[in-house]
Amino acid sequence: MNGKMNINLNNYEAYFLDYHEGRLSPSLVKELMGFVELHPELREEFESFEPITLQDAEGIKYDGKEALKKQLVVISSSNFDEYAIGCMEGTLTVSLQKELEIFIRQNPSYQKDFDLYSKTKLTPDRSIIFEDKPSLKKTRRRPAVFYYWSAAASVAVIIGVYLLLNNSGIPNGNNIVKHDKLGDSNTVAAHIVKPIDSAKIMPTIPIVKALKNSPFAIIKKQLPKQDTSEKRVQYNMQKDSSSIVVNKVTPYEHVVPVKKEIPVSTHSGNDTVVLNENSNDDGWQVIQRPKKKKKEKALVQLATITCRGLHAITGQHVELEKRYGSDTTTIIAYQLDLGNKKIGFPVKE
Amino acid sequence: MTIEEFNTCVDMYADNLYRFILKNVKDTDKAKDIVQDTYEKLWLKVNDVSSTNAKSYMFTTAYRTMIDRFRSDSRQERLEDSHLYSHSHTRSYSDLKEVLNEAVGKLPDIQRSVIMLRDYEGYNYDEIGKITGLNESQVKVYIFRARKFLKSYIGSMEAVI
Repeated sequence: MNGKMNINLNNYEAYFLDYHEGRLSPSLVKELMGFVELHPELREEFESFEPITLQDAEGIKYDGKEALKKQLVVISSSNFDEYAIGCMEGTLTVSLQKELEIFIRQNPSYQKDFDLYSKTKLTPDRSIIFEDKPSLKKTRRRPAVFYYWSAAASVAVIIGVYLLLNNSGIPNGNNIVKHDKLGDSNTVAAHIVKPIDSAKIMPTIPIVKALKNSPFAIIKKQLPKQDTSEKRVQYNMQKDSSSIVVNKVTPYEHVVPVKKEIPVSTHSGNDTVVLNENSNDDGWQVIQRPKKKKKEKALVQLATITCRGLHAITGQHVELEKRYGSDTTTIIAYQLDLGNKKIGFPVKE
Repeated sequence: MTIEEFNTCVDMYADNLYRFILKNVKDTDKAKDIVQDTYEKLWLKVNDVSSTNAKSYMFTTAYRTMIDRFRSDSRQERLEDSHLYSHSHTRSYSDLKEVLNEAVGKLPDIQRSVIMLRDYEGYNYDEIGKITGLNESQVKVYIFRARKFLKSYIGSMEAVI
């Protein structure tokens, strides 16, 4: 303890201890007594404070010391295997190895046993190999987002193409209407009639486009192959002397008059009008544009957008291309171009 | 562990692993299956296992997978030290290696595993203990017993050779 008295309620125990161990100077003893006088509640603790001395433990002894001591190694027939195996395992110290050598030299009959132990060292058969190592190897992982986008895009493309291929361009017979009466050249009335035999209108394929706000509708018609030359076409409306001359139309396109009196509910401006030349009916046949065409167009757009998205994400060439027939207007197939691979999807007629 | 390190592990350890398993299960298809399983498990832990620990991880995984297969194949009794110390002399042998292979095949599974890990792969007792789930003393005991058996088997076959 230093000579300066700093005793307080937080450290008085240390001074009590020093006092009882006789390590306080007389001046500090005097001050400590003054502190106790000031704090009478500590007097009892001060007087009862006695340093405790532990009992002498020297009487406790460990009896197993002899067993722990290492004996001088004596290799004998009873422990030869242990040292022989230890030698080939490489766990013997240099001195023990020498002891073993001496033992074997002195007892040559153990040389054979020692040699046999040496032969128990196994060596791997290098001819045994795992041949299919490439199957174990991994390629660089791509970001997880790639898989999500790929999966979503693939599903969209597949669904789109599937629906696309299942969309027939052949109209439903229920959509066929017939002009039962032709009045003057500009008036056509129409109503839904019973379904006609699809073979009857084949190979007619309705085209898509009609001219809005026009009395004319452009019709695409699959004509016999021999009729492929471009020509001028003139149609005479039956029961009517008026005629319409169409210039420079391909054999697949004809213009026929359609009056707006055709009920809008079933024949909007987008309706397709088909001239069924093979029909014995007296009038024109009007075929409503199949609503599937709109669906088909939407799906193609979806597939195209999806392909662009895939291209943007992966950097790979992914494109949905259209393939046209010899007339350059009829889509005969869609082709998924994956850069190094192209997959074709013919359009079902 | 990177993908490159993983693939390096394939090149470096697939053969060793395959040999170790094949010698134990004695069935090429099962051995290949276990090797593939082991690498798949390593791949799942590829971010947790360092390349320096990969070999031990794979041997540990392969060994435990093999034990599971043994159990599922009701071959648990082969893990016990048992009846295999008696050997017949009905075959003829061309060289020591063949005899040794025969002897190794007759070892109890646990002894065969530890001595192969020791001799083929050079693992120390502690590492073998971690792979097989044994303590170091048990590993020493099994290796000791295995060597005694192999020495005895080779000795008894030498006259035949």
